[in-house]
Amino acid sequence: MKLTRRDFVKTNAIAATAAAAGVTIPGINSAYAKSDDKIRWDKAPCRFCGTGCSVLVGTKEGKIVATQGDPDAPVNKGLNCIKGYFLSKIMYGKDRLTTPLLRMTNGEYDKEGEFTPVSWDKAFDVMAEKWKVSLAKDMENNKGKAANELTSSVGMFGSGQWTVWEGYAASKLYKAGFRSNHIDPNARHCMASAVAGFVRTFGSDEPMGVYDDLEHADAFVLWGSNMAEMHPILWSRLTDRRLTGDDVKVAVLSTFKHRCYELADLALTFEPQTDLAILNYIANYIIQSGNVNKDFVSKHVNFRLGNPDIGYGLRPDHPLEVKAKNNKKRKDQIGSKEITFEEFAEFVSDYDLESTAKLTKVPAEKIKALAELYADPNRKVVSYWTMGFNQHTRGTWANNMVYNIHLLTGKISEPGNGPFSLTGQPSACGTAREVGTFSHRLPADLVVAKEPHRKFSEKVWKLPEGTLNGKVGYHAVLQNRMLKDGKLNAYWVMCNNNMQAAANMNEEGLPGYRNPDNFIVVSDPYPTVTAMAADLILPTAMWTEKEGAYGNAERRTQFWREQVSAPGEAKSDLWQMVEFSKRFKVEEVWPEEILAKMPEYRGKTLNDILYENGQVNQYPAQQVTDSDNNVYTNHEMDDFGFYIQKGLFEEYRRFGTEGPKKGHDLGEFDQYHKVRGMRWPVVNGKETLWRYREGYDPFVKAGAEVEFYGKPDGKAWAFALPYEPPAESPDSEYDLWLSTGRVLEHWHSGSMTRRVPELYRSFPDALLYMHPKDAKKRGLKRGMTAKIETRRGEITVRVETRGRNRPPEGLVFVPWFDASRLVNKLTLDATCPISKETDFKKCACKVVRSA
Amino acid sequence: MNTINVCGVLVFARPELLKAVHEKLEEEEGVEVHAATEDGRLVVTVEKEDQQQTADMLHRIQAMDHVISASMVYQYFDQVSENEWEMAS
Repeated sequence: MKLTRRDFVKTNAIAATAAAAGVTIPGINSAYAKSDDKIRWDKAPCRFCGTGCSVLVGTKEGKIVATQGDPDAPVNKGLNCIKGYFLSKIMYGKDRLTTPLLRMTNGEYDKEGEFTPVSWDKAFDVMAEKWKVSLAKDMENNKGKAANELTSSVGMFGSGQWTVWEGYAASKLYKAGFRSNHIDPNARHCMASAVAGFVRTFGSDEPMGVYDDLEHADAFVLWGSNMAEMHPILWSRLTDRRLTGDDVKVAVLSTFKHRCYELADLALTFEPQTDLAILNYIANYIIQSGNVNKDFVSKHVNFRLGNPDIGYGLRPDHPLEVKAKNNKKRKDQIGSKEITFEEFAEFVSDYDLESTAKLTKVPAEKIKALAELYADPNRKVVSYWTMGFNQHTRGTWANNMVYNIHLLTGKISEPGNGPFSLTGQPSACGTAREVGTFSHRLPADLVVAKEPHRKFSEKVWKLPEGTLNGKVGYHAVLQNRMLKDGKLNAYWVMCNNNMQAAANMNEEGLPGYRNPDNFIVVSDPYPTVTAMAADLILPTAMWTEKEGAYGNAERRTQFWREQVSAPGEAKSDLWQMVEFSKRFKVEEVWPEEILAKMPEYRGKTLNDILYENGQVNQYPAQQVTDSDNNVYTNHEMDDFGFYIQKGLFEEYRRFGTEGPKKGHDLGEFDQYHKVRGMRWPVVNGKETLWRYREGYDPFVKAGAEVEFYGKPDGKAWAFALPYEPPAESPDSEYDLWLSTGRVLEHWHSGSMTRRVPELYRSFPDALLYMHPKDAKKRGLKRGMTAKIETRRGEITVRVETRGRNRPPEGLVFVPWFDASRLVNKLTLDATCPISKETDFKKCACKVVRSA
Repeated sequence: MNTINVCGVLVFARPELLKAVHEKLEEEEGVEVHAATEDGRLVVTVEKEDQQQTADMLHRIQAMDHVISASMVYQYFDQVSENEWEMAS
């Protein structure tokens, strides 16, 4: 029998799909084509979301020509979503930046000038000059001040898309080098509430469970997560479980109907913000129906009453902030006091079925059915959430409150049972959270405000005692406000598109960037909205144009090798930071009293102290190869003369293995290059699946069964917290809710996916999803152009009354990927006062026909 | 030159509406269903002239009524001069 090549390829496609489906097709053998076309295949985690799918990257003649779902990857088991399918094209957009661009007039820097190509030397000269003016001013202002009173006017906005070592290098540059804590990642916008929730309840960040729960649970509850579009591969695993398992249920909660409703056994469309009431009703139902796991609660849970009325994270002179009671000091916002279980039960008893149904506008029987899923002692339940919970003015509370439900029932930290926050960015966990690139954090769950944590970090980093700044820096939203107010003057944005991503662009973001007191640098592969608002643009090597590591939502750290060279003069973020650090003599950044403690550092550069410190540079240059002996380039190793990625990672992981917070251990650098990732804590080369559970987690004391060891007594905190209204609700003038979010085809601001022609064409422009009756009332029809307006701005968008998102009357939804229709001109920069994460899901708008 | 452009797709449909989804898929040009299970899994291939057509079709499948999820499993795109590239099976 003869086979054409087409037949052969097709047979392979069928075999691979059948294998992924778990189906046997007679006569079809799983015999992958051994490529004869000189394509080199190597693994890498996908560039997009926090799922962390592994893809096989096909390289031919120095160019990435294909990507495939990696059949050996436990996360995606060979599957790929449509964005992953076109991943190979994200690096080859026509407008890729290949040289630094400085705003100039007549050959000199001018904030009002035109972008002009310059050399890296010129770019760094101008940039260093601006930084040095700020740093000199800071040193003068900080004379005689204690470590926890230090101020700074230099800052950085980083990324959950940075590789692990880039985030680590950035954190060192700012926190140790410039003594500034004004460094925050864009992850602040997507999972800060999850962080604050985990730390507040468990004393340690990140989920206790893993994706394996998808194959073990009997029920899944999605709280504000459109998993079908945002995490399609996990959705596929969930779908598989729902369709093939015995009596598996899926509940979906949202403020509008979306693709997940197709699978839902129970769908609850609730009034925005009232998820808080549903959470309390469920806790109440569990108690009233006698389904509290008393043994678990008595051994492993403490109860707390959280402070109410904590404000909305707006500027202090906003009427809502003036009126709030517990928002003036940090300790009041996060404050709580110990209560008994009985007092907790009394607190949630206010949330009965009748009042909850009325407030939420969800039929009572549906709310009760949801509570029954959780309460049933014979049903294993996993809760998933993303931005619906996290981008919420009570986001930390929502996270705390879903933990209450899992703690009351003991459904946590075991296969098929647990709360799990999904993440939006590929290394929101691995870089932003674990490395601690937030304005209040240090690596491995340490924080700048605690002196012992600073001392430990100073020891690892070989810094003079007292170098690290103990004052919490400006978080993302505050950075934009401080730029506008002229208090933050030298600012570097790296690996994100925050002008498009941050709320209230008209009133805060843009005035901040264009403030004449400020110098704004943006590093990016493409001329994004943010880059175009900058004074200096630096061209960046992206994804597999450098060696990297990402950490996904299930604590899995995954490495990749450099596959291809970056175009033109584009350089990795790591290269940019190390080269920039060479421009600073330590005398220009540290005062004499610090330097006097380590006189051997006199005359050194920040590069000598931070990177060529005898630790980071201890691994000599070597050849990078895979198990098939393919040889890979590493441009940073070539330029610096040592294996910097390895040096940074090995120094970084000491925070986990030697640091004061236990359970954060990572494995050795070389091991990660050989495996499809490992989930931390990694002890003796072995990963951990379920944290806090004896038999799975090596840090749990023998005989304890469960130990939440992030807390001193090993007990988690269940919080009594009320429903409180949102910052802005519809009224007679602005009569609709506006919610924003993403779509399947585009990832975040679209800076990469909109440059893939196939994805761009699939979903070219943002749409205004609204109920047909709401459209009709305003004289609008599907396909017409409408003007959407809030107190902060207006945009015009085409109306969609059908399709994948179906809002109820009174709510509209607009995705934010579209640079031509910037929905963040409309949104309000209200945040959760505890996590400082913006609520992008709720503000008041009006929609009218566009003239 | 002949184009080979094949994509394997794992589709999940609501089991009670599997037949309708199956038929709908088969109506699409270049789409074949190779296996379907009672619990709603379909093994599908998409063959198109170019990547844009593939993307559009994947998009259509994902948006079909009663399709819960569609994931790409295998893709191959190449232009070969000899269609009769032979191999013994």
